[in-house]
Amino acid sequence: MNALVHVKNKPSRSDLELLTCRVGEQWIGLHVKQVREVVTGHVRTVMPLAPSSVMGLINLRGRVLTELDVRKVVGLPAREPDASFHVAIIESSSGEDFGLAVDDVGEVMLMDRDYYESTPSSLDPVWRQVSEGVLKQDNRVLVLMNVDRFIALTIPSLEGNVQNPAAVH
Amino acid sequence: MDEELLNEFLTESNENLASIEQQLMDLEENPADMDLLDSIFRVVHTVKGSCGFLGLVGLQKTAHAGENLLGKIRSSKFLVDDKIVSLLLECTDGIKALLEGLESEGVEPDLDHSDLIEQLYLAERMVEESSNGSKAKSLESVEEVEQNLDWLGDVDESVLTALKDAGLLTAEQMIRAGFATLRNMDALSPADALKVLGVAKQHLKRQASSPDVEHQPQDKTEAEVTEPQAKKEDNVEKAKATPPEIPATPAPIPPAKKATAAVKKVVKSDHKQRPKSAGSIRVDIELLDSLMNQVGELVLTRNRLMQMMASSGNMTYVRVSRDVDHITEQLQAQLLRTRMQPIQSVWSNIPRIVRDMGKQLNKKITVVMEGEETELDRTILNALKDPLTHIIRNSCDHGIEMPDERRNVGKPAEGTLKLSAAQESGFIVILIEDDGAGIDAARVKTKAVTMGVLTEEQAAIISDKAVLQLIFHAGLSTAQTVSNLSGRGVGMDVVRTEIEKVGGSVDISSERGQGTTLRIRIPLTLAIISAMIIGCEGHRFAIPQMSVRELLNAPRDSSEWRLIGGQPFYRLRGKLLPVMRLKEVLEFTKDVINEGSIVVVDIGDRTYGVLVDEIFGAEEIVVKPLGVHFQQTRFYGGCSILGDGVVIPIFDCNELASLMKLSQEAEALQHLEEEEEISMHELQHTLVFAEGGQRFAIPMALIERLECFPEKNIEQAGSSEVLQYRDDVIAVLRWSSLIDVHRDIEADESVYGLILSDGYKYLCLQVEEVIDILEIPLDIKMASDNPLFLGTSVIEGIATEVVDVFEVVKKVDADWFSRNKSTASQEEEISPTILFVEDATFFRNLVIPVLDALGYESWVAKDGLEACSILENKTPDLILTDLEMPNMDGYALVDWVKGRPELSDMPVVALTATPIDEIPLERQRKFRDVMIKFDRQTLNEGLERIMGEIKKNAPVRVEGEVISSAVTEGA
Repeated sequence: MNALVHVKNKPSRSDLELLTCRVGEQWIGLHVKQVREVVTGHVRTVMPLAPSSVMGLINLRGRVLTELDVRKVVGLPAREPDASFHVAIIESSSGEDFGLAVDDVGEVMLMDRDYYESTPSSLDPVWRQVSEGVLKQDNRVLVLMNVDRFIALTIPSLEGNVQNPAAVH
Repeated sequence: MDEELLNEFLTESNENLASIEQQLMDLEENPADMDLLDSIFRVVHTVKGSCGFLGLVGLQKTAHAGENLLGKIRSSKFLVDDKIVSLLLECTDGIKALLEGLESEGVEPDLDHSDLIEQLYLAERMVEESSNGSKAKSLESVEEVEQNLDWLGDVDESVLTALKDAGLLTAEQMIRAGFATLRNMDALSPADALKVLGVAKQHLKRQASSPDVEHQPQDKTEAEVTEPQAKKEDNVEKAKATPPEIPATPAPIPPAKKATAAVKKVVKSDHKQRPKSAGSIRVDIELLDSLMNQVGELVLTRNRLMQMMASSGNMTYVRVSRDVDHITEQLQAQLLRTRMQPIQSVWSNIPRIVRDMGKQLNKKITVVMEGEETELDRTILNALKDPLTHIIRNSCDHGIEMPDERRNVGKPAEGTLKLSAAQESGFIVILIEDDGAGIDAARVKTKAVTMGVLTEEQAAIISDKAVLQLIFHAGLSTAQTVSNLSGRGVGMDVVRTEIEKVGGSVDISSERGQGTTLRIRIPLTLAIISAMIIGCEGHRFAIPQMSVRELLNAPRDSSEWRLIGGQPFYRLRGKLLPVMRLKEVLEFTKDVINEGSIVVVDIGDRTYGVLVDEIFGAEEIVVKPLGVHFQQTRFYGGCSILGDGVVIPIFDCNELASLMKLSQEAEALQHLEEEEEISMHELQHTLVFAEGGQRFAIPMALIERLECFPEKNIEQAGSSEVLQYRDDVIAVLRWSSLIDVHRDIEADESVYGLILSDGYKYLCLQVEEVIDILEIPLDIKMASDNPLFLGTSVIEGIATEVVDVFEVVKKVDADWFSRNKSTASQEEEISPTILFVEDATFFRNLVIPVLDALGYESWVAKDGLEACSILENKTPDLILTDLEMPNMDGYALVDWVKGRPELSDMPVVALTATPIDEIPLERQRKFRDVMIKFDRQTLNEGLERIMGEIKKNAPVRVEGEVISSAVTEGA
């Protein structure tokens, strides 16, 4: 496991700092203060019959975290078996930490309020549910992700019926 | 006054009050017991006296009211009734509440006990009035001595004498002498000193306000009081600062406040700590929890380190890592111990609950407790508190009948509630037994059907034992009337949930008219559990050992597989075991071949098998909670991290069972009845192992544990080999060398060790390969010439030599069994004789050496008939008999013995392979005692106890020779 991005605390500006990640074709922004680190190449334990969003459990220095697949939640097709991905370790307001599997990690950027817009209705419905707003950049639209809302979406009782387990063997 | 004093006071008071509740209840039983009354009075008096000195006003008021009542009871020899005892109990509750507050806060808590005090006062008046006219007269002779110091109230004679000897005859003198002087007097404990000072202080105040009441004592000498001048001045100063006696007016409150404030100040300035009971410190349980977690991590890190170091091949590293290993182990063990508390801490309030319940219900109930010292993790203890209370209430309310009813059915009017706790291989088993009416299974069944818990069809085939477990089903209560105490149909399900929450299980057994027994089985600790690691489709899972009953090898072609209504079953010893195919229920694949290993899981009310691909073995794992996503998948009880760093899910076997459809099971139960049962006679757990291609069987009776460790752990010590086991070094015996098979073992190779133990001594028997543990009848087909073997038996179609454990053990330690024979005088005594009746050769061989070792002479009979013929000629001291035997069984034998006048006093002890709770009580009662065959320890202790009991009226013994020629011959 390598920590790709060490997020430094810049107390004054961290509220405005975003970590950009890509899921499929969509770029999302996570609040840096909620991201502990980004790891890759973890051994994961698949949990049979777990909610479909759950990729498995990982051991992060003795702590067991639930790893969630963002692709699955937003309804994208499963990743190629050997495709690499990154896991952002995020903090939720409940105190539990989760791993969010994303296809790629971009950079830490300062949020420019001038480019901030409320969530457009044209956005995919799932993204709309977890979006706090979007940032329009030159060639892309960055969805500001509300982590807590995203987590809530993945929990079975709120998700509705438990679908088939993520069959990663 | 300083912190030290407050500490002393708290320690003393807590110690004293710990016993007072029981004493009060005893007093209720024997209201005329003046000694008991005195002792209760002393406790309350001491508390009151001391807090007067310490300026604890509220506490003093409460204690004072209690003391007055007690004093009145004592002086008028009033016989207390339950109302007064209840009141006094409330008074001690009040005192305890105040003390608790004082201990945790450092200042006296603000609790209003004025109602209680008023009631105590009224009771005191009542006692006084009822005793008026018959004033108690004190003993004339003591009168004079007591005269001078009787204002001190109740203090020990020795204290009075000591005070007089020191010339301290007045309150003034005592205060002047000061605490230090008093405390240094041999006869006075610090608490006594405190008390004397406190009382003296009050006495002076009282004298000041009404000088005519008390006569001025004669001043005799002040000689002794000169030495610690400086100190006593100091003390007088302090004593002056303490508040006066408390007439119930608001006036003295300001000084009292000042005093408490002073307490606080002293506490703050001296140390940051609050006063605590001496000898122990309070630690935040969260701190312990986090320590526990960290040690858990340390254990895992250690495992990885050990692997790395071992593969490095560098001996220095290996040695250092071994030290780390050892220290970690100890750290873990000791940390576990810090969280342990005796179960007494949750049991202590039970007598009180039972008493109060009894009063309310007009029932008479005694509580008997055994094993109060058994220790449990505190989290578990706390979790047990409510379920226990609930169970106890239930037993009192519904279990035990009204006294008249009991008398009508020939039971003593007084019901008995028995609690016992004992450790059983990593678990604590708590039994709550009552001798009440028992539970009517038929009624439960009817209710269950009405409530829709059970279908008619299910009800028709369900066993009584299974029906009883429905008691734990939500919404079932068989109580005819709903009382305000229990029986609202909620509860037992909560009890079960609570117990399962801490990883425990509970089941119930009951016999109509005889009583009900609840059996709670809980792990010693929550943080670390022993689990069976299994494999299924390349995934690993952990099944808590607590639920694992046995492991079976179930090959595809086994003839034991059955398929009933699509549900696979495995025939195990004549019973059909429903099998859950893990691959199927976890939806790995649909087409499952019935092949692999079966983990037999026992969850109290039912047993099922889990078909897995592989069994990796048992491991101690640290349980970690699962995240929010697994709230719906309740069959995962948690997870853990294995030595290689991989996360492993842990199954919750109770929930896992729900993945299997119940209707199928019920349907299958029907078929189960059709299967003919093989005789369960003399089944026993037997371990089968292989060495040099040959199979051997060894009874599990003496095997404490199965260990698998690297060969290099066996170290050379002199001419013998040893193994570090727990904190001990134990001898290693290699089976290969005993049977002359030679095999080279690599240092890194894992070897199996059977740890043999009889509770005191350990021995490791190293074997090549452990094959299985089976519950089988051990029929020895052929006797053996080799003393190491009892003979040959056929196990799973393979000829297997049955090992004589005793011979093996003797190879290492010839004196293994003789630790009880130490005194020389014993040799001169004629050894007591036991007639041992047992049909199975195997057990004869197992038990006779034990009897020999205990110094008994044993006569042996193969069945009841043979026993009778021996008894017609000779009389042993005791008969030890098997229950199930051909020709004449144990029950018939005991009836025969009881029918012979000359043998009517003969103690007959049953020795059985059947779990004792499966034997009907009235059958058990025929015997002096019923013991389990495999438990050497109990056998030893039980025999010694019974022999001790009968030694007093030792009968004239007919000398007889040992009839044990048939020992090794086939059964």
